Amino acid sequence: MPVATRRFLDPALLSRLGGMELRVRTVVEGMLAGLHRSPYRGLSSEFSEYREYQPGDEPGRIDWKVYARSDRYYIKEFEDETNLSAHLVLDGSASMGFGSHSLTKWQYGGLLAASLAYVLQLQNDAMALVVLDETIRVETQAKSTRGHLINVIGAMERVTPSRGTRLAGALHRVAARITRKGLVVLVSDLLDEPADVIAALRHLQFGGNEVVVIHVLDPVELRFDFEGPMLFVDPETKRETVALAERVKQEYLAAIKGFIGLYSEEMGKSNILYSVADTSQPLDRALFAFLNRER
Amino acid sequence: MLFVNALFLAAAGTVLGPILFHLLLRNRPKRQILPTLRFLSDAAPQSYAAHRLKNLLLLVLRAAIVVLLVTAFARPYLQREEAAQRAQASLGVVFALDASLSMGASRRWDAARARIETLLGGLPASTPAALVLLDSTPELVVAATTQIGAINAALRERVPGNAATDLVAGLNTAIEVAAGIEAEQKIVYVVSDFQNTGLESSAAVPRGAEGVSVVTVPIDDTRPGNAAILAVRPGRSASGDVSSVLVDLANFDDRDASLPLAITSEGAELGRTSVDLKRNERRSVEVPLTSAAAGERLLEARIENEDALATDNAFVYVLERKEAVALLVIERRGSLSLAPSKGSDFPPGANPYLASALAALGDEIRPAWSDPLSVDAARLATFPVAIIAGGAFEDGFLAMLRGYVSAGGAVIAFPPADQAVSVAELAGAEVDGWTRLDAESEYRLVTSVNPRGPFARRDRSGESLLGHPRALRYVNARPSAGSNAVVLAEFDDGSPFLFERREGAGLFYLFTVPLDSSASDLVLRAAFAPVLYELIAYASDAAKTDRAYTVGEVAAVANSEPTAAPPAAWREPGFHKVIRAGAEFSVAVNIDPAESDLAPAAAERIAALTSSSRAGVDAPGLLPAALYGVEPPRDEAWRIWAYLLVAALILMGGESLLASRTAR
Repeated sequence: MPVATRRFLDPALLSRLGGMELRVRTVVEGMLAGLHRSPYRGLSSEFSEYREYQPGDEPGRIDWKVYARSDRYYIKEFEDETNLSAHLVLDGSASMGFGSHSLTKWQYGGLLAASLAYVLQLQNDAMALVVLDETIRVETQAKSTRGHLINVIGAMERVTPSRGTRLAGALHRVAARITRKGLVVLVSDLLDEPADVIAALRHLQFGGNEVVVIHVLDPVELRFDFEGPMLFVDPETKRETVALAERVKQEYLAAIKGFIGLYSEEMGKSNILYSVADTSQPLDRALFAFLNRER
Repeated sequence: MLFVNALFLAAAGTVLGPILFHLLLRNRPKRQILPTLRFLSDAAPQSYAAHRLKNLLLLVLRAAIVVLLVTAFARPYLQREEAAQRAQASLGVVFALDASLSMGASRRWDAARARIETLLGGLPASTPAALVLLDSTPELVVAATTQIGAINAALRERVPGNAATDLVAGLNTAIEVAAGIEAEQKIVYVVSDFQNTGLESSAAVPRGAEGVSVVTVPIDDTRPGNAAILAVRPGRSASGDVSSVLVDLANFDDRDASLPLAITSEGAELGRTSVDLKRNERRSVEVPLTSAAAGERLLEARIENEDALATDNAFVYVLERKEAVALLVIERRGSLSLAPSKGSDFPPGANPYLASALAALGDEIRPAWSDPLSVDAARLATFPVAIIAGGAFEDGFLAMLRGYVSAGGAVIAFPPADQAVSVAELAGAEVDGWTRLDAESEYRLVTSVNPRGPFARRDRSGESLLGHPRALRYVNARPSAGSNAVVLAEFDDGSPFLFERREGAGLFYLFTVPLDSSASDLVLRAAFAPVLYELIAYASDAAKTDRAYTVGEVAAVANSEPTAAPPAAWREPGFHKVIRAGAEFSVAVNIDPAESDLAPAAAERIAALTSSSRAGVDAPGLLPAALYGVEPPRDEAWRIWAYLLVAALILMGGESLLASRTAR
């Protein structure tokens, strides 16, 4: 496996993901027997490629002609036979570059996204990567090949969170670019106007996309474990504020709680799956929690 | 404001401690990236401002605590200018100085003078002051004057007296003098060692007077040692010159003493040593002389410590070359020959107790033994003293003795074992048999010794050299009617033990116990030899020692004319020189032995001296600080100290409370 890939794909995590399946609640395009249902039934589909037979595939899909020639089992894939088309949208703004321990929010979110990408690839689901900050910084096609997975991971590697956040506007652009129904997973700290972000997410839902939001936050952002006089600096606006941590802690916690609560409530109303990921929590726990909720 | 411990103010530099602590340990805001900064309200910076203010307040509190503590320990007091000015215009002082004999002990007198001079120096200008000496009678030495120099001059001239002092009576006089001073406030400073004996005679307190306060100024010496020289004897070499001096020393103190002892003669030092005596120890030491002393000269032994009473620290001994006292011992032993045997000073038949006692006297006594039959008047006359021991003597021998004594000889007689005491008549005594006691529990004890005569000298405990011999067998004798016999010592039942009778120019002594250890323990006592020596010396009048007497010792001055009255000056207490028979010696006259007891009176008794002043104004509150020298009015300094400490404690509580709130 290429060197770039190793950074994001934890072997121990991968070994635990080997048996997982990614399920989605909404109907996606593609032909699935037992797991996914393609919305384009009856339409001929353009041949996409052969892939080697894997245990679990339906024997009826085996291309016997290829077997007669090669003595190996292959399955034809068609474009519209793809089980899922997923857009992994990553927030690459400067605030995502913050981390109080070994992983920044960007690293944690990227690892999450890469894990999802790997799972999708295992299921031969197509996935595309989008990295946002003030605008769309990175955008890839949706493919399901292993080579594409490596490209996606490499694209993540090349991004350094550094610019400001205009998450809502970027999400609207992503929504306009998605042509096929599928899954949209947003990994972000959502540090933008909640109302604008919610509106953008609803725009993403338009067209039948299932939207999942993983709200990534650092533990100090969640718990404000500071003491004594502090000079706080916003990494995006560069605004500085001095305060006595013990004195402002309760007020801050109430505000962050309200912030999360607002997203949770609004996303719940919009049937957007929402979860908060504490970057200090084990990554696989967050991933499994997400994937199990899918079941 | 003034300070008792002004140097402590240097510790004020420690206030830098809290300041440095604050500067070094203060929490500067820690820089922290926080993407969620938007969730801090605009009022957040105010929390830090409040924090800084509290820290500053803590700094001020801590610095204030340090300043308060430093100031408190420096013990400030307010200079009462108003009171000082008032005191300056309306203060009179009387110094009542104890001039009793005990104030001459150690350095008490110098210390008392120094205290008065210090107090004088602290008085405001133009303060009238007087000096009263408390001796046997109070004496106004310097009447109230603003000329301080007059008091200082009087202090330099005067010395302690020789008598005891009644402090209460003297204080009344001082109070009376103070009352006569024209001033609003008057103080009597009583400067004394407050000897117990000066106060025990009376439980009275001084009379008070309006406006007069009494302040006690105790004088104490740190080394009240009390050692004395009891006696000095020459130690003679083979050539007869005095090559050493035997000094009898006594330490009457309760503590050990180290005594430098010097022997001088007419200004030249002949010997020196240091003697360590335990408490209450007596010892004789021999001081070798650097050059032999001979001839008629004065030897002075002196303890060079200045302790209790200097008068008994010196002993003057008149040294003269003198012949040994020739002594004829006449024993009646029947047919025993008492001729001296070859090679021995004592005949084999001589009384062993007598022989050993005389041998202990060394070269000062040269005895010759004889039996009565070998003695004639001519031979007898060559001896100034004859010791007669034994039984009945013939009339002719007795007559010869009478003539011998009348001519100036001295006889010391011991009765026979149990026979007739033929010499009793010579002693002026009538004999009526013997008293024989069978059991020791019935022994007679010599309890009374005539203060006159050879055993007049007594030690500090009142004991005479004779001690208390015991007798189981003695002659029943009493002075004959009309005789001039004097009983010098008696048994506890009043029976005479020793007679003295003057016959012509001589003396006759008769013991009523024989030289027999079964009759009495006189011959067994260690004092027997010294008793014999004293008796021989006294009787012979040829070995007299000129010496000074320690306080308390009764001096028996045997005038050539016993009926002559002592000089009128002797009625005054003091030390006098007496010249007799060409020799000079010192006599302590009418000295109160109690003055040698330097024990101070109880604190309550001393405090009672000031009780009469309580009725007047509160003296300490009106005294200028300078009157006490460096020390300010103690109670004022303590009050301010206490207030400052309470304030510091309150601030500490506030600091603790604020610090805990700041930490939260």
